[in-house]
Amino acid sequence: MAERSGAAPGRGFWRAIDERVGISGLKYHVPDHAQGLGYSLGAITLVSYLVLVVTGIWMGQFYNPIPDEARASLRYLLTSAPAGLFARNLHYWAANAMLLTALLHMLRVQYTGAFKRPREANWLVGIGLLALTIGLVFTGSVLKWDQEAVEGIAHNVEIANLLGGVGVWFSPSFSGSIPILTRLYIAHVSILPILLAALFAIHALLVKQHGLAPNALAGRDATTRATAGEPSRGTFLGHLGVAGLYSLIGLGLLVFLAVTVPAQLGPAPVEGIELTKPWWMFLPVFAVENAIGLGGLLWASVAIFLALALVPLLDRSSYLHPARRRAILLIYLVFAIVIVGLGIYAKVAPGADHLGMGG
Amino acid sequence: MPRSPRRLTTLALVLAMFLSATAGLAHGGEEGEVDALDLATQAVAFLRAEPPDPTSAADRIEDALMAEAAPDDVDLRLVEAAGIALERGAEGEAIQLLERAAGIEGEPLGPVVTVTITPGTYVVLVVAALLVGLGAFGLGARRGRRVQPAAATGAAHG
Repeated sequence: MAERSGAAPGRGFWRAIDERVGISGLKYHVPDHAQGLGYSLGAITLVSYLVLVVTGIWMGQFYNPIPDEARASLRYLLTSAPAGLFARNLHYWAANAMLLTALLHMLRVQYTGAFKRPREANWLVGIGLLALTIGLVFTGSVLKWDQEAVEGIAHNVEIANLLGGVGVWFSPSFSGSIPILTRLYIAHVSILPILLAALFAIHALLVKQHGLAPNALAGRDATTRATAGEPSRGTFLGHLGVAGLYSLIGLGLLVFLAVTVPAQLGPAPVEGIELTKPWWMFLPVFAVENAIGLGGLLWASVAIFLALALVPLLDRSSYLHPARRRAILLIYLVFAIVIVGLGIYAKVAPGADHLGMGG
Repeated sequence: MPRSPRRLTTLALVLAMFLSATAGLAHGGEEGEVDALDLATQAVAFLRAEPPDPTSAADRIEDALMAEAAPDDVDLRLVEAAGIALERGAEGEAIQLLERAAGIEGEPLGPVVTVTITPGTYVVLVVAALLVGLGAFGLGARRGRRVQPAAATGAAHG
């Protein structure tokens, strides 16, 4: 009783909350090397996702996912809805930030060998999260219902045909009563976000289960076993605080971009022609599609995800230091350079007709 | 055991190459008969594209004028005038003529979304600066707290 009356009011409130939700369970020690930006990228990705959820809910109040109404409702959102233009711009930049930080996070994990035993399953969960993020980007990009969106859906339908029975959900014939745009909207606002949240929960639980990976750069002999004598003065809760501070800076930059560089809306859609290029994240597979046709889009995507999934199988030694893993890192560096090169090529090369529609 | 990843990789590569090859063969499509209205609409899309493609637009206009199927709701005289305007390099005029010819409710030319500076813009920019400043201050303060004990320890040892 005496202890309670002596405690500061804020501390008492904190203790009451902690007793009920167990926040102090996150106060386990983490190694010092994890307190920088490189280890905060995953959390920044999560914050970008939360920004997307909030701005998406707001835009959902004004957007109509019926093909005949979609563009008019989007124009209303951009010109008349309160904070509609700002919400869409912030949504657009947060989507870019989410994908970019997720990719950088994966690069960091690969470079430091943080996917190694016993964290292989979490690497695969991360690949699942990347696939869902790309799915969200694609379904979001078709909702604006401009020329790029219509061409995106046309690709979606052709890929569904290529996949045969597996791709039936992506085909307009799956539902006679609901247009494919509306179904992609449902995927964008409910199916994919729910799956992403569920997979993220598993991702976070596995991080808690295994702890943060040992310092790969502690020395040439650093292994997947925790480095002996490494200082761990901070806690995971403190680590989240650092990630939160980096996220604040990121959020500020997103707000700045949302005000100064608005997301564009392409021309009104016209079916039967192909004259746009997709977002930057699809450009590498778009280049393959330019070279070998529509199937390239599908099989290049499969090849990229397969290559990512094979990482824990190909790099199985317990050593973490990059100098002990030169060969495999070199292979994946070449792989990354090829992907970036293909993207740049697709950006500068003239567009091609992939669907036999002309253009 | 060490061979299994290699085998898997080889298998995956062979599978990917095979699938790419079959997908390449599956590529292609047949063009159907397109009427003058659709062709005029497509010409507008080519002119509104970023960057505009006047050559493809001119092809579509030519096709529209020669199309066997010309619904009543497309005015071929305006399509023809749009072709002449395009030859002069007047893309904006060509778009307007084509949209009138096809009965399209045209959108204003130029980018749909533009930056308009209002008092609210400055408020949002201040909020953005505050967020960046708050984050940077917090990180600086944390770093200071971490350096201080280390310096104190160093002084004690010294």
